[in-house]
Formats: sequence, structure tokens, C-alpha cells
Amino acid sequence: MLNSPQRQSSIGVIIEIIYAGQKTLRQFWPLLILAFVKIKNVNLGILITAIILLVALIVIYGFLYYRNFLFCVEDDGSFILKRGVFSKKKVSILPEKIQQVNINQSFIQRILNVYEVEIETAGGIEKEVKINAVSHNVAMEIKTILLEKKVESTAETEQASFIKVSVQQLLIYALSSGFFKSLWIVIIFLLALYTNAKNIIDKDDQLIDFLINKGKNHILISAVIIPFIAVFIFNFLRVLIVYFDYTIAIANKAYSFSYGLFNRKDTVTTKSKIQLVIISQNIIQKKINLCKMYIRQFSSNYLKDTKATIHVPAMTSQNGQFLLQDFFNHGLNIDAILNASKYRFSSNIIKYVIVPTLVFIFINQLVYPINYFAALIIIYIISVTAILLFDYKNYKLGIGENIIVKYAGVFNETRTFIQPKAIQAISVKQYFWHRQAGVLHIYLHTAGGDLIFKFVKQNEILPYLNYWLYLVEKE
Amino acid sequence: MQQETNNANFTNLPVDVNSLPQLQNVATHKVNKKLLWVLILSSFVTFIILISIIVILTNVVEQLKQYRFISLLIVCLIFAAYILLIIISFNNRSYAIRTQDIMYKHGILSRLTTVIPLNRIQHIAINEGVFLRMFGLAQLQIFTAGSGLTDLKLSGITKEDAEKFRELIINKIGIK
Repeated sequence: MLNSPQRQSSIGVIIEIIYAGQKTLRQFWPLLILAFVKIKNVNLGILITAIILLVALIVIYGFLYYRNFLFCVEDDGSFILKRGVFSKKKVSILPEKIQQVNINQSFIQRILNVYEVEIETAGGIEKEVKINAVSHNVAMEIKTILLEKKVESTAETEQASFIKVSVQQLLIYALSSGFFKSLWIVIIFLLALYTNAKNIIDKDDQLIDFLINKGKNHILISAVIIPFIAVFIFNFLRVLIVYFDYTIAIANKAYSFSYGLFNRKDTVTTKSKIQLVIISQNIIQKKINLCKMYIRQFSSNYLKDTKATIHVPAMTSQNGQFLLQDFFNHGLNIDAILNASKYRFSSNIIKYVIVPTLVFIFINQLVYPINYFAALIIIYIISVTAILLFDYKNYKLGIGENIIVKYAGVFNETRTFIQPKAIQAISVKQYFWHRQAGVLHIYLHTAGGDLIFKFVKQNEILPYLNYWLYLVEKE
Repeated sequence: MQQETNNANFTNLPVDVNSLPQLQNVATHKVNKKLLWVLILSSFVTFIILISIIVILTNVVEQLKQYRFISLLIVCLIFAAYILLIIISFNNRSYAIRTQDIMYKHGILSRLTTVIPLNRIQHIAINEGVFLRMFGLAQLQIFTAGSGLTDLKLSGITKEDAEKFRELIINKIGIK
């Protein structure tokens, strides 16, 4: 059915006209605003004629674009697309160049019940290979035909199993992940409020007096609780719109992730493309058994390529573990755990305790000769030292036959997973003051990001580095 | 399998780790001495640019005039320290091409060793900057899949060597 050139779904005319209109607006909006502001007494007739003319042009353009837009899949699996109104263009993509086929739905497409099919190619030479409006059946057919030659089974096969993220879990995620963020925003808000109030009421004493006697309850409610709730609701709505009905389909070797309330996104990845996986839980999420996951795929530039990272905002820890086991073929067994050297702790103490304290004391001496903040400094030193101690305790590298795991974090525990065979290159860094102590930083580069482990003992890690190189090189 | 007391031994691996090629014992080649001049020259260019910015700024903006001497002094001191570090750390620059991988060590305050297995190389380029060309040198750039962080840029080899190495690697791994 797809092997003869064909147009998009007939309702696609509307989509193309709307897109043409959007494009025109996007390109000419400064001009339009200028015209609107500058031209004062304009003849209404001319204005209306101009608008009608513009709209007519857009409609004609959209219609012609729709008429000229032809696509087909040839028998050998290559995808052919012809398009263009003034200059016509023909794009053909060989099946081996096709990386991914995404089916998305924007708000307008959702209303008109059509789908967008986007074809990603290796190297990204052709940026815009997109069909804007086809029915669900055609979209699925294109996807299956194109991916048939790539992967044996896509995520839409029958034996697929599903993981779904419920609204409840999204709510908990928004609450728990937004907690620290909201706390900061509220603190900043309070500080701003305090300085402003101080300016108005002029004197500290009066302000305190005012706070204690009159407005205690009101201030508490309006300054703490309301912003907190506002930040949370905003955060929850954002999460809900982006990640609504998050569904992960797991098939033989492929995974599909689809989510979104208005704009539905659908990303497909395969086992062989997954390079690096990060699972994280903050202390609240840990208590309620929820985790989030980042999956980094093979990409020529993972720093710029936003599509290369798949984000699963929330799922139960069991589901997280299940996905991990599936990604790495149940090869998560860890044979050895390397701790960081004590140099991690001592150098962090210098960086985050000693230097800030000295700077603070120095500035304090310059400004107020009497030590106002001694208690504050002591609290700072104790709490930061405790945090750094936990950081040092939690920072570990787990090594198994088929897996390398980095454990890190105090309030937000993260685990980063890579497979030795995904390693592209290895870097080792040693500052000259670490040479005597035999401490190194290692960087395991993959095509989906780096696993960086700092302050590891040289004599412990070198055999593993040699072994990983051997594994990669003997392939 | 030999026994070790710490947990750094592999318990269920079929190979004896100590019999593998050892990263730490690789005999490396020093880079060409002329590279030192290239490095000094190119940092000198940055230095000149900085100096001229300061001179222009302090001449144009009246309020900054008083800081001219002190800022020039600071820039000069930093430059002198930097040149000194380049000279001291120059001996750390070395490279090795083994049968299965290529290795480059460099760094000023730290020593960064990067190893790229030959079968992970995506493409190779030879770069001849102005200063490099002046001294008959070239930079061999080796790219893997992944971001720019994994790239290895081996400066300080002669043009001929760079061509030779490229041929060697390309023949070995068969990329076009």
C-alpha cells in the first residue's frame, strides 16, 4: 500500500495551511507589530484587503504544499519523499541510514486526529524528514515497514509488556522532587520580603515587633504556605502536561516510551543503543519506593542532542530494577566494590569547609570587628562536614563482569550504569599533588556520556582499566 | 588465578589480569621539542591580545586609568607563571601507538592520559595550524563516537609522522 507515491491524509490540507500560517507569522511578526504600531490612520478597506490577500496566499501555499507532498516506501525499504512549492525537493533515505521513527501528535494534530511521523537518520544530515498528517494506521504502517529492516521486533509486537506511570505517581514525583526546589524558592521569597519590609518599616526592632504582635498568623500563612502551594501546583501541572499517561512498552529488543497530555511524544529505542543509564532517588522518594531514570542513547553529540536522553520521571523501584535488568541482559551482578580514597573527603573539606570559613572570617573581620556570626560558622562547619562524610561513604564504584556502576549522592542518591563494552575511550587524570598518594580521577567515555569517578586508588583501579581496554580491544 | 587480599581481584574472570598489557608500563614517545615553541608562541598571542585590551580600555575609560599598572602587572605575572608551567610540564607530553590502541599523555597541573582503542575510532584528521606549520609540525586528531570530550588531539609530531600514523591506523581498522 505504501509502495506507490501517496499524499497525506486529506485532512492534512488544514494542517499544512495552519503550519504555513504559523511559519509566516513566525517570520514576519516583528514586521506585523511594527505595522500595527507605526501606521496610525490606515484605510480600513486596504487593511482588510491586505489581510484577505495574505490569508488567501497562505491557504493557496498550504494547499499546494499538501498537493505536492508525496511519500512512499520502496520495495527495498528506502523512504522517498517529494515536497516543495516553489523549489521542489526529493529526499531518499536508505533503510540502513534510518535510526528511529517517531510518531508524535501536537495539539492541532490531536484535534484533527492525525499523526506526525518523523524519521531520524544517522548523522542527522537531513533534518526535516517529517510527514505532518497521516492517520494512525498509516503512521504505524510506515513505522513497522521502516523499522522491520532495522530491528527484528519493534515495541509494538504482541508479546510486549508495559509499565505505566499513574497520575498518582506523577503527583508524588512532583511533590517529592519539587520539595527542595520549592523550599529554596520560598526561602528566597522570604528574604526578598524581609528586605523589602525592612525598607518600609525602617527599623529592625519595629519589624520584629510588628511580626510578633500583629501579623504573626497572617504573615506565616501568606509568606510561607501560599507560595509553597503555588510552586507545588505549578510544578505538578507542568509534570502532568509533559508526562501524562507515561507508558513504557517493552518488547524483545526494543522499548517505546510515549507520554504527554497535549503533545504526545513517542520515542523508540533499542537495547543496543542504550549506552548509559542513571537511576536516582531523593530521600523522600526512597521512603515511598519511587525512582526516576535517565536513559542516554548512542549519539554523535549527547551534549547537544536533547533527543538522545529519555527521561522517565517516576516509577516504582521494582519497575526501575526490572527495566535495568532488561537493558543489561540481567548482567547486573557486582563482584567488587571500590571505595573512594580518603583524599576525596579531605579535598572536599578544604574546598567546602576550610576555604569558605576562612573567607567568611576574613570578610567578617573587615566589616564587623566583633564576631557576630561565630555560632553560624560553627553550625555551617558541623553540618557541611557531616554531609561530606556521607558523600564520602556513599561514593563507590561497583564492578561486575558486564557492568560498571557508580554510586553517589547524599540527599539524592544516584546510580550510573554503563557496560564495559560501551566504552569508547578511557581517560585518567592525576594532579601532581595526588601523585604521591596514588589517587586518580577516571573518565570512562561512552557514546551516551561519561562515567566519571574521582579519587580512586591507583593500584585498585588500574587492573580494571587494563581489563576493560582488553575487553574492548579484543572485539 | 592468583589470590589477593584486597577486593581488587577479579573472582570469576577467565583471564589473568596481570598478564594483560599494562597501561602504566607503556613505553611512550616524547613529543617533538619544537612543540614547546609553538605552545609559547600561541600563548604569547593571547598575552598580546590581553595586554592591548587593557591598554585600550584604560585609555578610553577614565575611571579605569588608575588600575592600568596593577592589571598589566598581574597579567604579566600570570603569563610568566603559565610559561614556566608549560616548560616544566612539557616533559609530561608523550604518546604511544600500540597494536590495539593509541595513548596520549599531557596536562599542565594534572597529567591527563587518554587511551582510545583503535576499533573505536570513527575518523582521523590532520590539522596544521599556522604556528604548527611554521615548525613543520602537525596535529593528529582522532575522533570516536560520542562528544568532543573523547577526542584525542595529538600535537607535536612532524607532518610526515602524522601522515604515517594516519595510514597505519586506517590500514589497521579499515576505515575510509
